[in-house]
Amino acid sequence: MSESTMITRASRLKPGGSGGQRGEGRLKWLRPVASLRITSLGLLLLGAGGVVASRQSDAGQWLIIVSLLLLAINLSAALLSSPLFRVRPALFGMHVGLLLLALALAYGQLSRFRGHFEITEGQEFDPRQVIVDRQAALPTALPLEAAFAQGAIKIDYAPGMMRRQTRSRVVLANNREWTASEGQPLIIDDYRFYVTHNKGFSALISWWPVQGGSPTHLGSLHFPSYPRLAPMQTLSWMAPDGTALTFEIRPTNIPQDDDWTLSGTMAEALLLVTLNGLTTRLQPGEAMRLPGGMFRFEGVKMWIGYRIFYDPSLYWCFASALIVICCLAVHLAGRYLRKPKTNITLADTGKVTI
Amino acid sequence: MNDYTLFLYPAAVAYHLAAVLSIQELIDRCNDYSRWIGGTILTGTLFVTLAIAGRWLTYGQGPFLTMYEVLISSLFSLSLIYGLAYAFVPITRIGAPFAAGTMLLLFFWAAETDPGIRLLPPTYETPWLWVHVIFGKLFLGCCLVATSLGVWLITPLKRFVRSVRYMWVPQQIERQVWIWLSIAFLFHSAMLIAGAVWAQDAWGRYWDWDPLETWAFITWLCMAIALHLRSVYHLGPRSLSLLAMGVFVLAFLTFFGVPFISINPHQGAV
Ligand code: HEM
Repeated sequence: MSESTMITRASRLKPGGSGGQRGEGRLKWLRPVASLRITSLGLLLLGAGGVVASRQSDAGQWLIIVSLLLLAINLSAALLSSPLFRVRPALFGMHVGLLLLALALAYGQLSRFRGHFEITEGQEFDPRQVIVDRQAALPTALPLEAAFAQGAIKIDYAPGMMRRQTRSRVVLANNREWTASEGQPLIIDDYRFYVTHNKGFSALISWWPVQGGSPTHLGSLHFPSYPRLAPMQTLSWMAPDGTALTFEIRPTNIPQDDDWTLSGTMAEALLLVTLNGLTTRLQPGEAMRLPGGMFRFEGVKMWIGYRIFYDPSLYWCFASALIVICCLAVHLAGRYLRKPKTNITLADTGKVTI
Repeated sequence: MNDYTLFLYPAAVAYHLAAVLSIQELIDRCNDYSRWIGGTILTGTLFVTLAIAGRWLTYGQGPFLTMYEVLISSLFSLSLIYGLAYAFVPITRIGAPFAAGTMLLLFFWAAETDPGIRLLPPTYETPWLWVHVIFGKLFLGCCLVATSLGVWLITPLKRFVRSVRYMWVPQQIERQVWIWLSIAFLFHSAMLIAGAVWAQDAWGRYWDWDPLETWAFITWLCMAIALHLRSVYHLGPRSLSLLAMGVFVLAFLTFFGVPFISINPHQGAV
């Protein structure tokens, strides 16, 4: 049977045959909603939405949502009412996969969370440090405090300041170790932590109030991104007693013609502190007295920026996309790999049956 | 000039020969040149393979990044896919002049392009690169076959055909165009999925409407719309031919234009 004959026959199937066809008869009123013209219109709208979205316009997102809704209604109607889907199970499976994909994408839109943060070697992850870039509409809970501790950070460079692999070691709460790198995010409870190329040196400082007592650990002060801002490795810091200080570090020279690795050891463990125009050099462990207390320089480490991405629909999207692809492959194989009739006959409609 | 580029010249000669012979074949009533045409296309493929292998061995990385690399790797895949179609699906032979012309175009374009090397970004060290690229090449190859047949549907040159081996019923050609377009659609869908998985791992988003993604999506939508309209309206040979050419042009621009002219390219290309 030719494809065109099959399509015509299938669309002429009348209720009253098999049980399935009886069902389709009852759902005949859905047919106009299931029209393939609406499908084409929906797909056109979707394309327009994509073009507008690529220009970073919110209108594009809305156009995409409206067109996906239209397509989902149109497709659901077709799945329920089209007799063709009964005779072509793989085509049916493929369109069910498309509907599932649309649902998964919608769920993803509602649950997606994005954020970013910076962390220094030796520090533990603190959800309060995360700057939220996109809050999910559905409630989400960031992984617990101390979900991981940041280990050594190393970034390889090729001559000509070509960044190669970033290797950021982390120790998870269960003591398991993991190296996050480009293309290999750290995944905790469906939250994906991506290393960024934003990184640099940080000075570890602790503060001792003048009244004595235990030190207040102030943590790390992040110098500007390195090596992108290599000549500007200074920062201003206001001590808890209100004294304004300028800190500077001196990283070793970057090799121009060799491969090299950026790590905490690339900066001399020396902090230049400028107070009222007077510069003092501090070695790790050395302290400096200020009117309201004393701060101690603990050493130089690396910091690195991470991006967090959370979207629990990812696996569902992938699974439904696989359903679409596999069913489409089976459908096309069934449609075109069937052995064609050897003779070519002209049907009386003037069309050719192959 | 690097040694490996020398292999591209015999390949160009082979494609020239294929183009000339395939036109001769159409107008020659008696002689059958198909073995020669198929042979020259596959010989061309062999020389391009040697050029790519030479470059790979010289620099230690595959042809995935620069315009030059994308051009020569596409030259390889298009001529291999078309060569195999030519050998095993006789009806596709009528598209040989167009296909050989496209390969020559890619060759001249590559010859004009800077063959300099750029180190692959670390995000390229993933098996998804292979899945994405292989499906992309398969898609473009099927598109080339569909278009070379589609062009035939409307070309006025048909009148000059003398060889009985090329007198196919138009409906047979139409069916073939649909078959190759449908397979191209399947490969394109697989390419998009593999690309999305890769982008998710590499940049933390599976889709971002960057120019390359947008144009790839539009190409995919055009095929999806065509596959649906086909059941609503009977697309005549002219519309079908224009459709196949339109998809090919879109795909061509997406592959060889958008990533290299856009100010905000696909992150994979930097
Ligand atoms: C992005 C969304 C969609 C894609 C990618 C898609 C893809 C396809 C493909 C590849 C075919 C097979 C065509 C062939 O065998 O040559 C097909 C057929 C079909 N699709 Fe879709 N489809 C989509 C959405 C829809 C929607 C929303 C409907 C709802 C009506 C629909 C209804 C149909 C029907 C009824 C057929 C059978 C057409 C025929 O062969 O007569 N599709 N679709």
